[in-house]
Amino acid sequence: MAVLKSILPKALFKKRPYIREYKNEIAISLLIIVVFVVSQFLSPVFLSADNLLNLLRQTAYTAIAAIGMYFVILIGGIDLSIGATVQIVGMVSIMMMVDGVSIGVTIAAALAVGLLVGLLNGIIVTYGRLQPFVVTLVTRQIMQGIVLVASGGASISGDVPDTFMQIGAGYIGFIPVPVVVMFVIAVAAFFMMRKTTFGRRLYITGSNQTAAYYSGTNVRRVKVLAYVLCALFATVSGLLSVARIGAFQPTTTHGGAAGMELNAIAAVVVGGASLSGGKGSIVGTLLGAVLYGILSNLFPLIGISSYIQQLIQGFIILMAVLISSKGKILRVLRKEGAKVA
Amino acid sequence: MRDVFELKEVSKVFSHNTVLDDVSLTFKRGELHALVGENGAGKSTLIKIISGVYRADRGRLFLNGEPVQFMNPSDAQAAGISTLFQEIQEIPEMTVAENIFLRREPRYPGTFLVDRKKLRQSAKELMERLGLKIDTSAKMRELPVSTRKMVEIARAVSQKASVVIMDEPTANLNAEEMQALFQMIDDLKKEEVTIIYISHRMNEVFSLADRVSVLRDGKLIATMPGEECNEERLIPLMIGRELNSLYPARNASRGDAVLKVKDLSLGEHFGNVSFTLHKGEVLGFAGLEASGASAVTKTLFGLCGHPTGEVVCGGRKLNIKNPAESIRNGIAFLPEDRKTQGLFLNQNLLTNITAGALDSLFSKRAILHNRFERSQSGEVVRRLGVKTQGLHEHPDELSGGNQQKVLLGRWIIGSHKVLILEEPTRGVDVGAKSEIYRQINSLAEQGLAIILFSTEMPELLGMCDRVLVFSGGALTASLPKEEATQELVLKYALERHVS
Repeated sequence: MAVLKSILPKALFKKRPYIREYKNEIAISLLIIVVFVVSQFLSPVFLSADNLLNLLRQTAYTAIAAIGMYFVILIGGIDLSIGATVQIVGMVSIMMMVDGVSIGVTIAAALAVGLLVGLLNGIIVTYGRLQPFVVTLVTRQIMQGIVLVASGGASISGDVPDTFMQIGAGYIGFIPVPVVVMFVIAVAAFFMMRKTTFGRRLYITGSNQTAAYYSGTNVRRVKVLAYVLCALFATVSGLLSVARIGAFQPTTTHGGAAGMELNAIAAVVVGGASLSGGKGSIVGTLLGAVLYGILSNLFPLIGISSYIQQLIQGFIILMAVLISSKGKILRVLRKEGAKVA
Repeated sequence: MRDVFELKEVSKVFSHNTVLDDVSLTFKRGELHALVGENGAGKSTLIKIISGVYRADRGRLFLNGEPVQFMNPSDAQAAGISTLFQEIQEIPEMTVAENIFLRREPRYPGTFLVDRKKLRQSAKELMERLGLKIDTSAKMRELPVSTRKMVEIARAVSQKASVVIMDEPTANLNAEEMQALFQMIDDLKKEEVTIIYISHRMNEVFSLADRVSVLRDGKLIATMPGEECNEERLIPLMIGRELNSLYPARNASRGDAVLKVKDLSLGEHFGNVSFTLHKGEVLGFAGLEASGASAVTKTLFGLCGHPTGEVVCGGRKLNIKNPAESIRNGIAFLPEDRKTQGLFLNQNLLTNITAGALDSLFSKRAILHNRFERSQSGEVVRRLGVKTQGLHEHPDELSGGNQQKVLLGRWIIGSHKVLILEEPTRGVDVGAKSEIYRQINSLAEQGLAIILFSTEMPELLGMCDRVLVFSGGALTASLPKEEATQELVLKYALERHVS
């Protein structure tokens, strides 16, 4: 969001230095407002109450997964397996529901699966000293394999109780349940980062592992827990989306589970985090998810084809990553230019 | 002696900040010209202009009387200016020989193919000529830091340059390697090569320099012959004010024993080390590379796994396993490399200062006391005189000395019993140095027991009540302040070095 940063007057930062800590959040908020204002002229439907609620619901799935992803990116890792986690959790819970298992046990089982996935990812990355990118790509492949073998590649549907469906499709007041869950999770995560020692240890581990270890942090435990949280949040997101449809499809994947990890990574990075770790905030991540949600909602409304959407999404992530590298590439280009000139 | 290189009225401005102000300097053929000054005085900028990394905003450069303009470092290299930068520049995955001849490898005539045989041959010859015992086929990453530094020096020397710039060449070197370096410098001078030498170590400057130039706040303050230099004369010029003494007096009285170490051993690194550390005592650890001095301090902090032997701290027998456990037992540790091992460069000062006491002081059942954190770290910043805009600043916006103060601040808060300091003033300017020494004294006066590991002998002798000397993994001497001299420490440090 460097462009926006340069729009914000520098004097603002000088007089109130603490604003500098929130410049990313401020910049994205401004961008969201701009998009809102512009969208009014582009599509009359966009600002309708129905569409906005729908937008919030869409955003909730991404935002919940993105908050989990935020912890992993904060410690300098990455988790490419959350889409597959969503799939496996969806399959397990629908299978259990169809078999007549109680909702409580089903949810507990789903969370247990998520916990296991997170532990595996975290332990292999941390104790095996391997690249998180490679490890989670492999666990993703394994989980997708399990899903295909267990489901035989066919969709699973049957008699799913209404109470389960309520988790995904229901409302509390006029607000969809997933949106409420998103807010609860965001507030809890915000509190955790701000007020707990674990949150602080996540920051310092991401900033400088060695220094964190030297100042008494159990770096390995912190890293494993970050992967566990990420998988658990993906599980929650998966439960919410599978409960909305009430059936499981292994190939087309409900709620865009296959591209889930990229959506989440995009939200985190657009929200101001750095892929090298130690930077970013919950509020930024949430705003990133909202901005991302608005764009995905707006594109079909103004007649942009879903094929082009993917292209645009790719460019958004690329832009965000370039910007979060603090314009390193731009600096290099300028230097080269200066040499020529 | 003729002038080989000349700077005329050179100025450099970085975003409204004048770092070099109208500096005119001449370097004579075959002289060693030392540049001294505090951090931020402009030394590094000056050599970066000479070596083509930066371009001067105003002023001109002359090489052998001809005006020159360097657009980039390779221009300067081509003109015969070779630079040994402070940070090691090598490529770890390549061999010593490949690193030495990087970008100027010998080719098969008429092709672009590297003549590996000749490359190896020339590297070997170079090492022999320089009297260095370094395996030129070893990969750089397999070598200790000091050896890598020597390779770097060999590379700079081998470039047949007429000017060699050395920025803190002796940092990380042990005594033997320093001797080899000084020998190389002698040889270079005999070949009429001009050496521009930057060092914080005054003794080196005094013994090596033909002429010394003092920079302060970007201005050239004075140039004088080396034999007229001494600390009393230079330091006031460098800091622009009188410095009573670099090592302030301390009023700490030795209290009860805090740390008792008995027969501590760790594999091949050191064996049977026993000593006792008292409250209010500053205990120096001296030794050359691989002497065990630094390994003992790291082991005590839990960085080297499980040692054998007995360590009792504050009456409790310790089971050393990791830093977290050592901190819980009251042992704090200031690492030698503040940027890679100490600071969280992209976190604010508050986070940096409170990171060592999150559990013990700043939280209850894992919930942080944000307000207490703020007041405590604010207090630390005030007490240590950290020059900063506020707690929201990040350490990478501070100077080296202030960064080190922030790191020291991390261990000032909390109820530690033993503070281990490794090279607490490395790369820190004179002003900040004396501030850090004052803080060490005040901590000792408050009853903290301090272990000071340093490769700067004057610092050890000036600061410590007692100096433990290590050699070849064993404790070879325990010298009280009154008896400790540079000669004696070096004698015991070399005791088990059979060459």
